Amino acid sequence: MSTTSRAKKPIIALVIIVIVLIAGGWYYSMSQTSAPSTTSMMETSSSAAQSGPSTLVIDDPFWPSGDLNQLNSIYAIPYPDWLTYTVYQSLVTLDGNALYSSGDVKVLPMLATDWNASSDGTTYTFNLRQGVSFSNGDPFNAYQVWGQMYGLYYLSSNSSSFLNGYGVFDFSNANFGPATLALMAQSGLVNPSPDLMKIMTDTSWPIYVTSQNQIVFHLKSPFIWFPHTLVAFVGLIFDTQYVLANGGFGTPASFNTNFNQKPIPGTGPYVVTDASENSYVKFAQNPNYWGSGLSAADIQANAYLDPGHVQNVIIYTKSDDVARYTDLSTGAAQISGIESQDWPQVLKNPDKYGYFVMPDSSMAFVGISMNTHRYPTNITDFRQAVVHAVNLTDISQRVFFGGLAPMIGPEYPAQKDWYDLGNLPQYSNDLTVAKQYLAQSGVDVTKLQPLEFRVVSGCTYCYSTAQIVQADLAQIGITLNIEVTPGNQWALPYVAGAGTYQQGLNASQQVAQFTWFGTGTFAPGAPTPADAWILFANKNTPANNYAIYSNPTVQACVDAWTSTNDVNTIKSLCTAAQKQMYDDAPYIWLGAIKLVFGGGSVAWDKNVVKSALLDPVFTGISSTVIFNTVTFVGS
Amino acid sequence: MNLAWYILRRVIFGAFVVLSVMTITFALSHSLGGDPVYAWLGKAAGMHPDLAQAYIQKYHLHDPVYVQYYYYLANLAQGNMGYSPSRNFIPVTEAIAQTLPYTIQIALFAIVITLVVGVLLGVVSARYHHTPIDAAIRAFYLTGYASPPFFVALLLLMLFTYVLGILPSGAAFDPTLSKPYWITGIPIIDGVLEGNFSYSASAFTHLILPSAALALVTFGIVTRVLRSSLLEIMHTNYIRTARAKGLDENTVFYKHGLRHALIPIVSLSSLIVTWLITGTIFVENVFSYPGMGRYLVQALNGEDYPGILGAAIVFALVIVTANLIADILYAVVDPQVRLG
Repeated sequence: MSTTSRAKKPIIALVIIVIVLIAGGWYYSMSQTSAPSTTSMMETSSSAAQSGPSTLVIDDPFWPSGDLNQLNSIYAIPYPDWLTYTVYQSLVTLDGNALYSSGDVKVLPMLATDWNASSDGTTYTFNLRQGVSFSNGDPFNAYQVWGQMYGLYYLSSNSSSFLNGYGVFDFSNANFGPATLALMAQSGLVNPSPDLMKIMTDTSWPIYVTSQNQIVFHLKSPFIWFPHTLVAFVGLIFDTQYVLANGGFGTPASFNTNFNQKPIPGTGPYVVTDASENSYVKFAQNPNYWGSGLSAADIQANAYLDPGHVQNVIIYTKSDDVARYTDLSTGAAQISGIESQDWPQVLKNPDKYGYFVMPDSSMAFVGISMNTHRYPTNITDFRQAVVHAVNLTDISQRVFFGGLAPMIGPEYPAQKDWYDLGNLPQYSNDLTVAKQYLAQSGVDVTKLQPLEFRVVSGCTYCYSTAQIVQADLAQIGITLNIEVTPGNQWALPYVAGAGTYQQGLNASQQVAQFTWFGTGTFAPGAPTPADAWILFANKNTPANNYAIYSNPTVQACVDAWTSTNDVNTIKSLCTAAQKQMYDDAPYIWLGAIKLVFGGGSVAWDKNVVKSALLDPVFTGISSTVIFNTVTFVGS
Repeated sequence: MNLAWYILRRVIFGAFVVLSVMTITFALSHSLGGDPVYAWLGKAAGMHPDLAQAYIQKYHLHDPVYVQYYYYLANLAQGNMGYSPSRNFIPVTEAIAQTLPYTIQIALFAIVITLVVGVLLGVVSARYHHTPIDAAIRAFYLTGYASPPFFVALLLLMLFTYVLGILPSGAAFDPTLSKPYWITGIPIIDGVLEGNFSYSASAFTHLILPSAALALVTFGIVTRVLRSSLLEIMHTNYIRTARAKGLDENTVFYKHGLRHALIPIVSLSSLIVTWLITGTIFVENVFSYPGMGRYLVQALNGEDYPGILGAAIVFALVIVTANLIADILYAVVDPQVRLG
């Protein structure tokens, strides 16, 4: 038999296989009836807002830890919470347009129409929007809000700081537990029974109702920024009646998991229609959305109320950056989170891609803490040497693509009335000054053991920054060992910020001299000017005091936020505190981030997407856009 | 010894292997240090100390490791593999039920590709041994064999999705299509059973790249073994006899030679299953495919002990079962194996 005829059979077999594969692909492409495409979005984008493109596809690097179960809000998860303002709304919100144009923090009504505070600043009364229902038709009212607040309080193991870490309530008179929950379930929250009403209207409890449409929050001490604590997380309102009818809240260590992928209904412009764990979530516009009739002027004034400009949304979780960039470039996704690995590709194509850039005044930042109780970072002059040796501009350019705005902590730059009280300048990057401070500290670097710098595993820009800091400090003779720490060890006794100040103090000799702030970028749990002081400089903090830092002058400022409503007093105390912290330098404030992921951001196809907003605490809640605010080219 | 006794011994040995895997995995995962309650609750562990304490008590997190292992075994005996913190505390069995069908789907398809491509190229390579075709095939399978699965996955993603744009970048199916009812949990099969062929086609299209990435790394061993086996067999006496009888070369090669050369592939099958299963951990993460490999990575990142153990047990069971089936098949084919 000739070689030619011998070769025929395997070649024929290969050809048949190729034909089958191509046929399969053709059949699939023909079976696609509603796959999103750039072309279809362009064709429909000129229609009226409510009848815009049929499907918006977003790729996100993360799946919500805590799934879609809003009962997790007491843990400050789900993160990312794609349901913020899309499915759930809060009593109050922030002006998103002002927030992301100039960093102005302005509180606006959402499910509450208005509110007032008593003269002593301890009692807040909210009047609720009437005629609002959840997406399943259950009515939204004060009883629902009451039920939710106490239900979450119960799930937190009756923690007085259940409200996003703010211990503003005194629950000593409130006896809420399984018996009350059982009464709620029996009575319902649409027309509560007299027994339940008696409890709900009890004014000795910190949260009580006065009518179907009015709810009161009584604080143990004045806190001017209390409404800001309701903007997200625990403040996102869900249908408590639905929770009670579907298994209840559960117990503190075993809450109801029924809502993991079938979330509790909300009042927002979208509903979840389908979810697949660690894969995707599908949304559709809520036909019962109370804000469907809002005018363009209303939406311009309060962007988070937008009913949305696309009928369907799919958010995919794709952990691989190449896959997300590929989807964006091929049009399979119109918005995609791109991290540092592929960020240069986005930057190289400015005509094709738009991306999110934070204003200089934002609340998300990156920083490094110095252990103020372990040698040698327990010496103030040593810390001053460090902050003058670190080259922040270099870090911004080389690690964050130029995306770090200067920051004088602890206050977030967006809190403009409270930021950098005293107008202190950023620490100069000056090796001569650094060496002078080092000499003053009395530390002999030639005899110094390498210092520990702890960063969390998986954060590439953290390692990159740590290497630059290591090189900077080497110039003044300080040697750093970078310790990449797995997430399961990002806790005490290795990381002070994971526990209370006292726990950090007890473990101070094990905590590294330098620790990356958090597990990546840091954003507040609530957009209040008190947040940064309460977390980073407070001896009574529940968490986040990474430097184990406390000072009486600073503590006076910390305590003032929740003890007086006299703004001038707070400002005076905090101006002194700001100067004290500047001199003590417990933290290296690397800067406020301008890109959502530090080394990357949320990018979109500029031919399709015109604009979008992020969440009200600068990606402290969601890692992608609040998609009801997405507007499209041509619409 | 008879076949039944041989099988019983293998089953007992397999059970011992699974138990060992479970014990070692338990010990290793609990030796990582740190406090899992912080991994599970995040900063809420500090903010709400009573809540943290409730979790510590419920899950015995601060008990000695051997005490925790005792509780785990006691629950396992009742069919309870615990609750998965990385999946928001749903039962581990439920998490496995959600993810295992996807991994089975990938693995089955990858096995088919591995065997088809491996056998085809093995035959061609043996047929044209010591020719440029043989050299090209060897270069091809060595490249695949030497490449890590995630690297192959990324290359395929870039070629077929980014450059050619003909296959999707990830996920398991197009969510805009209506899903069939859960029958087997395997998307392609459930779609076919319900007559939802669009869905099945979509699931198939999303399956191609992950399965191909796995297969490209494993087919090489099939090709290599088959080539060697064929070349050896073609020089045996019975092949010479067949030729002497006047049979054409194709009949000698395929009917007499190939049939016997395939026997070693049977014993390789358990290894193939092992490689494919371990490869899913990488490939599923590149393609965001919601299978057990992705679940295992999620569990590892979240210090989800029950999830890690559950996934390890399932993987061990699959590998042990594959080896068991291979051993049984081999014993059926060759009785001398049983006597060993």
